[in-house]
Amino acid sequence: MRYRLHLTLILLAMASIPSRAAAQLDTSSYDANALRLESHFGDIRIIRGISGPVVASVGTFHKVELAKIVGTSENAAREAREFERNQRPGAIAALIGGIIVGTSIALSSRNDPTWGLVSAELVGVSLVFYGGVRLNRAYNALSRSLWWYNRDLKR
Amino acid sequence: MIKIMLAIAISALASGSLAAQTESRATNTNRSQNATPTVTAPQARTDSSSVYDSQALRFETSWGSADVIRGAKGEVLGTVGWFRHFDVEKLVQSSPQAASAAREFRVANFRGSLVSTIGASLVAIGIAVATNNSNNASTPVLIIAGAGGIGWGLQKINSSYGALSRALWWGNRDLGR
Repeated sequence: MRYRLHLTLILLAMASIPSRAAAQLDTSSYDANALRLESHFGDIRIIRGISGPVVASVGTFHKVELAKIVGTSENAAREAREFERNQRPGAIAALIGGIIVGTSIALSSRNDPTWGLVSAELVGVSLVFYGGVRLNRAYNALSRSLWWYNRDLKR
Repeated sequence: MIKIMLAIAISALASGSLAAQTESRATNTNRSQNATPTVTAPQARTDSSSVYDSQALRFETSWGSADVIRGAKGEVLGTVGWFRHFDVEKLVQSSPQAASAAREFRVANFRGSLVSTIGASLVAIGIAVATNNSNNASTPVLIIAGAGGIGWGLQKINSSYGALSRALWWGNRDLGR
């Protein structure tokens, strides 16, 4: 009778071990590897884990190979490619558009308005708008990519 | 007798652990092979994965505001942004770190929205005054102060989205795994 009790207790203890170990693995894997975003003076940083390293910085002049970073998850990599397709063209278009708008406004304040200046302003505003649309698409893909990557972490 | 029972128990424990590891590997292989955005419930999906699929949060931006989205299907729970309030704190209240980051987001977002709006108003007033009376000495001060306000406010809004990202990250971490 005592032996049966021992056996039952041992089996119960065994049954609880894997689930506890799995739960610990869940959180520790997420804590160490899950990616998140932080903003830093206009740049966006991709950070690994609770206080982990900066994996990449996203900005106008930074080329980020996100698909490589999140390559272990198929869905994340697909969204990362969408991000890469849109981020750089969007940032460059918005920057050029901003420069054109700024220059044409500065020139038109000192000279009489001409068709050339008005056209430049319109082109500049259109470029800023186009860049904004592409950047918006890129950052939403970035958000989705990290979401999928964190989902597919080894849990 | 006890020794035999212990030996059986230890061997069972070892085989159980191996089985769990093998299952875990198989599950991960399945995940990477079958992971599709539509999430068509692969057979080997673990509980934690299905909780994540249905509950995990993220946000997507759209012209100055951000939609807080839940799950793989993309259910929009609310929108935050320029004077748009949605109680993210309540949404992630089960995780203390997430709630703290959500509070940080709320404060920074409000301050950023307020200061950038005041800045934009100052710039608009400065430009209006300059067009009507170009010799007014206050116009450059108004425009420069306004531009500074816009810059500070946008920076604050930008950092608030960092806090929002952190809040959702902690919230997703502490989901019932």
